[in-house]
Order: sequence, then C-alpha cells, then structure tokens
Amino acid sequence: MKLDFRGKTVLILGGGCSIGLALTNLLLEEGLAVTATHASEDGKAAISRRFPELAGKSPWLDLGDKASQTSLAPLLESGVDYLVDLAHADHEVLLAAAGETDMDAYFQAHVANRLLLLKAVTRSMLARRFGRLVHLSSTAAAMPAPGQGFYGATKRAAEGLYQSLALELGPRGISSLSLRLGLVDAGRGERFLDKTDRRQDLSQKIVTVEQAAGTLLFLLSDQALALTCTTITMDAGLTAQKYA
Amino acid sequence: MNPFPTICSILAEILDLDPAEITPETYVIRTLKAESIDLLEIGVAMQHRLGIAVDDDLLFLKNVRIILNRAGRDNVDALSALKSEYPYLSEPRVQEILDDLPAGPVLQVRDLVAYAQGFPAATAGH
Repeated sequence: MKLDFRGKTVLILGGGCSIGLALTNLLLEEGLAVTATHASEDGKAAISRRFPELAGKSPWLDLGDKASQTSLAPLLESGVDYLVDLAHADHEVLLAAAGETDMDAYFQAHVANRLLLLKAVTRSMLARRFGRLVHLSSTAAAMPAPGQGFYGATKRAAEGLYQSLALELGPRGISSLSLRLGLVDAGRGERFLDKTDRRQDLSQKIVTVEQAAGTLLFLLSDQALALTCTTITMDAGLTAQKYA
Repeated sequence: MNPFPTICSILAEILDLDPAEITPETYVIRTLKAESIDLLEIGVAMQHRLGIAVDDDLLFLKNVRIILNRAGRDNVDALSALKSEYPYLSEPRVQEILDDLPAGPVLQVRDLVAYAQGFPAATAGH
C-alpha cells in the first residue's frame, strides 16, 4: 500500500534515538521535510552521522529546560504539519524514596513543559487547519515496573494531554494519538535486556526498531487519520497475558 | 495601520459571517456567539496576520471577574484594578465594561482592535 501524506513538514522531538533515526529515514524516503531535535550531544551526533544533510539543522530541545523551546520558533512560525513526540527522560526511583527536587523537576519537564510545547505546536497547526500529533508512549503507562513510577505516571499524563488536544482541536483539523510500545530492543529496553539477560526468553515479545518506526510512519499517514483521540498498544502481546 | 479590517475579516471567516455585520461595538461572544474554540482560532489568526504576540487571557478579557473578585477582597478600586490589568483599554471603555458586566460577556470587537494597537509583539506575553 502506498501511504499518502497531505502535509510536508515533520518535527520529531528526541530525534537522536534509535526509533527517531529509523523514522527520519522513512520520512525522508517519503519526500517529507524533517526537523529532528536533540537533547544531548550524543543525539546531535547521531543525527548528523546518519543524515549529513541534517547536520547543523537539529535544534536543541530539552523538556527540562523551558528556554530551549525558543529554538523551535522559526519552524513553528513557518508551519509544521506533523509532530512525533519521542522525548522522555528515564528516571528510575522508588516513589517513596523520591526527592522533592526530583519530583518537581521531572513532572515540570514531562507534563507542564510538554504542554507548553504542545500549545505552541498546535497553535502553529491551527493557523493552517491541519496537524497530526503522534506521541510515543509506553506500556509502563498502564503497567509500570517497580521504580518506574515517575516514568509511567508522566507517560499517562502525556497520553491525557494528547487525547484532549485531539478532542478539543479535532473540529479544526488536528488529530492525535499515543502509541504504547512494549519491550523495544533499543534505549532503556535494550539496557533491560542486557542487564537481566532475558533476551532469549523474551525474544517473541520484543518490538524491533524497524517495526516501531514503520508503525509511526503509518500513523502519520492520511490512511491513519481516523486513529485519533486514542491510545493504541504495540507490544507483541507482552501485556496481554495474566502471568509472564 | 488600523487593524479593524483584518480583525473583521478574521471574525467573518471563522464565525462564517458577513463582514458588513461587524462593527467595533459588536459583542464577540454575546452577539456573534463565538465559542472557546473560535476564540482560540481568532487569537492564532491575529497572531499570524497582524504579527502580534497574543495572550488569550488578556485579548479576550477572560479574567475580568477574577480580577474584580481579587480587587474586592483586597479593597482595591475596581476601575483601577481593571485599568492596571488591561492598560491598552481607555478609562471610559473600562468604565463601560464595569457597567455592562451584569448583562453578560463584555468583549467587543473594539477591544480586540485596542489590544492589537496597544500590545506590540515585544511586550505581549505568549
């Protein structure tokens, strides 16, 4: 099936991660213009290394630093059609042991600052009455492991923001959804698999980077626009059974 | 430049109206029946077409009752409180707003015009 895209410009938050790089590749192949943000020097280098044509064009965006959002002003002024939100810092701590400073900073970054950014992005989209938001969530939003309280709670909060934005702005052409991924062999999923040596027994439950990126591409397409105001799960059945 | 024609055009497009129906004294919510999603879109359109920074709370006088409640609690004169919050509105207009408040939402097209004229991008909040 050939996918159609009524928009042209894509903003990827956290574009330096494995899924971001794979998605950027697919989007460029589709002829779309991609701006991929980075939050670290590693992310910036990964984008430049994989896509020399994007070198020097990746804005710095750290959800923890509200001021970094100003780097997106020129893009938002000229208009953006698609937003893919891959930005989320990991922070494992038992909730009852969490420090107050950590709590404030993490929730400020991943809920309040994310909403501030979404406000700017959707206002840019409203001017043209089209926009598509895809938020990469996690099965941890519903089923966190011990220590993932911050991560799971803010993912769930972000899902709520994306759902409400679609509900409120749908009549003006803006749609939105969250995709919950399960165990991905990249990033924190890769670290988990390496650390626990469970790659063998969980091999059937792993989502590959290519599968995740391909699904995100589909979710951005015109064919998927009716998938809105919702959250869908892609976890190779990881969370479907009662006992693992 | 007088922003009234542009604002008229924006209101007419978003609310599906004949621009000839709109005067500076037209009530945006009370008469034109603009809803919150319409106000959001009007603010975005003004930002883009007039090149101004828009603070929705200020532009649409959303906090008038909150400001008046706070002024009453703090024993501050209502006129002074509103003038301080909305410096781009003239004193006679602020007095009109106070007199008109019991009848419903007070926002008029001329208030949008005053905002656009009085709040250059450099000073308005996002």
